[in-house]
Amino acid sequence: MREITYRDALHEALREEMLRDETVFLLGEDIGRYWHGAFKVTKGLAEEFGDERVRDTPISESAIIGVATGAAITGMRPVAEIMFGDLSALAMDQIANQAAKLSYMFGGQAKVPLVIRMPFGAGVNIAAHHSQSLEAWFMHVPGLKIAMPSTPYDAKGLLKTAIQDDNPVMFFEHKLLYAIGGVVPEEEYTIPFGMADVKRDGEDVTIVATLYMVHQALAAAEELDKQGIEAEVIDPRTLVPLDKQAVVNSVKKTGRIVIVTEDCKTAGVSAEIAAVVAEEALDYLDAPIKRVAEPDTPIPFSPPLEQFVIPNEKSIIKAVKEIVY
Amino acid sequence: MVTKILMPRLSLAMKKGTVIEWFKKEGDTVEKGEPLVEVLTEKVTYDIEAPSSGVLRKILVEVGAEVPVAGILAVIAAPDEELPVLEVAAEPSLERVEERIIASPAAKRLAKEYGVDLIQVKGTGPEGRIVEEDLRRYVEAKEVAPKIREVIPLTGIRKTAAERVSLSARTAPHTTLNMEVDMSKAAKLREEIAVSYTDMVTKATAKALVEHPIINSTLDGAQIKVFHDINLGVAVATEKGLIVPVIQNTDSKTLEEIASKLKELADKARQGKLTKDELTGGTFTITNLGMYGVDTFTPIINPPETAILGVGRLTEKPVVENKKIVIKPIMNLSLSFDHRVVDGAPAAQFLRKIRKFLENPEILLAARA
Repeated sequence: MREITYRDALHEALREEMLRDETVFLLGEDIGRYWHGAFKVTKGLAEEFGDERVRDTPISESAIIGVATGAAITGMRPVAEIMFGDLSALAMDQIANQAAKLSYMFGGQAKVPLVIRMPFGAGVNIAAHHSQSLEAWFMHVPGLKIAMPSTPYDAKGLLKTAIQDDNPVMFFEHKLLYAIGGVVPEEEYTIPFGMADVKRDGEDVTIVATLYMVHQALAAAEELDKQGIEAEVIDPRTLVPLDKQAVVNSVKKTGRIVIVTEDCKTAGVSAEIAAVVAEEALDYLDAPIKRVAEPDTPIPFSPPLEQFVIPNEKSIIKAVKEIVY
Repeated sequence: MVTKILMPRLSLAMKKGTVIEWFKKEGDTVEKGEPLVEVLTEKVTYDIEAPSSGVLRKILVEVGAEVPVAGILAVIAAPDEELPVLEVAAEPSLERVEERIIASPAAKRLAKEYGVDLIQVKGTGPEGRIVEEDLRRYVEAKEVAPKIREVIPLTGIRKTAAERVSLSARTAPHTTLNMEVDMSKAAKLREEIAVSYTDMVTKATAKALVEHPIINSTLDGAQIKVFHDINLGVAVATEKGLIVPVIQNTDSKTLEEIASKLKELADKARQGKLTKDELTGGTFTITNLGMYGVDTFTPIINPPETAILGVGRLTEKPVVENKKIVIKPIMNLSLSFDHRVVDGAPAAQFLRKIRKFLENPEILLAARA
């Protein structure tokens, strides 16, 4: 089957949805014909659909999300791009207090079919302001959905679902994933939210990982397999809604879980997933729950220090071995 | 090395145990793992194995003595090693009662499922934590716990019997009817001529089958095949197992003929001299456990037949007759039948017919059927 990059998969999803529904439009900093976005996801779209539907905006994240939210409640389906996810902090009032709440405030009479695409994550030496993983912030705001594709296939299927959803969706991309390749069918498909994907089957330990960490977990599983430990790698794909059942079922099978996320450990996504397991599968745990996450520190600029704080194959293997005995 | 043998804690509630038997005496050489002493708690007996090899130097408690948990029972050491001062513990040591058992939630769940007391399970996880694998290992080991004295291969008659009774029990829905028979007249007849009760039951059954042919049948797929011949098998217990010789055309034989034939077949059966013809072709079976003091039982049909008659013991019993209590010889008959072939009512009628013949045995004396 056809293989394309994660970047092209996102591009395809945007293009297909713009062709399918003329209320879909894009807005963001430098996404138009002069720059095509910082990671080139919108390449060629301004040329094909015009500057009205692929809009360059001023450097104001608050304005981007405010405009997009207003457009959404008046019947459009905006897809906003925040150049670096860290800068969503500038738009936090619009996201958390407006987009997330309007549907509730108007008793369901207002819909907010808004998608906010954002690249997150560390690993490319661009320091503390451009390297964070902030999924836990948004997970804590009722009214927001969160998608985190780890493969080109998931990227396309989840972005199409996000655009078709009537609620605000925080769409997490990762800087290190844009260039990876993967099988993406040419036929139409979407991936429903709240459905985890078992990226690898195993009997001995469950590894739940998100976004770029899925690849680290798969590499760790490959190495563990050589050492006789079969790890099952589960990618929730959406954090809101979260496929709790997939995690619980896997733990019932393996009795052990390691949760790998790129955000900070304290009050992070791993804490939430650990709590779910403790609440719903405690009697199946044969060892303590393990979390592999970033330490509570801003991402260092120094490349060796940056590599030190990002969870990787080795730290995952170490965690697995601490509970598989 | 001096190794002390201590009273183990075999359940959470156990405070003391009783020594039942020493398998070794002082001065014996013991190997690690050998059973040393059997102890009894409120719930179980348990063999304590030697924890190390050496000489059983000293036994501190005699058979019948109660010893608190962790109390010393004996000492294993090298032949000439100096022994420390040893004292028998007087009070239950509470040392381990307070000890928290560390087990994973999964292990605890399994322990509950299998009813296992975690104190008996050895933990192999970090810091001795009991994990799921430990539980599974423990439960598996428990399952093979009963010791085997000897292994008897299932062969010959035993094997055939095993196959046939399980086939019958599996395929034919059994129903058993019990009926008491007044054997007063039969007992008198038995004194007059040389026939046994079994002979009379056999004759009565053959005669009843003539009038209730549906019982003399077999279920073959979607068809009930009613036999023309009435060939009664009479179960005989032999040293090698149960054998059922068959009297061909039982209905056409007189009571005396049946008596002599049965004796001949039983003798042959015990000597293992029955021919194939004398073992096959049965259409109905009679099995008698009366001589073993059995009152009633539920015989298993001899496949592919439809029914089997069980004969219980004959006892003197008080029965009410004409509003008076009189003592009579009473015998129990148990008819098991395949409910796929007949219902309860016709089977009961058949059984009642046998009773009628046995209670009026002069009918059995009529020359033929």
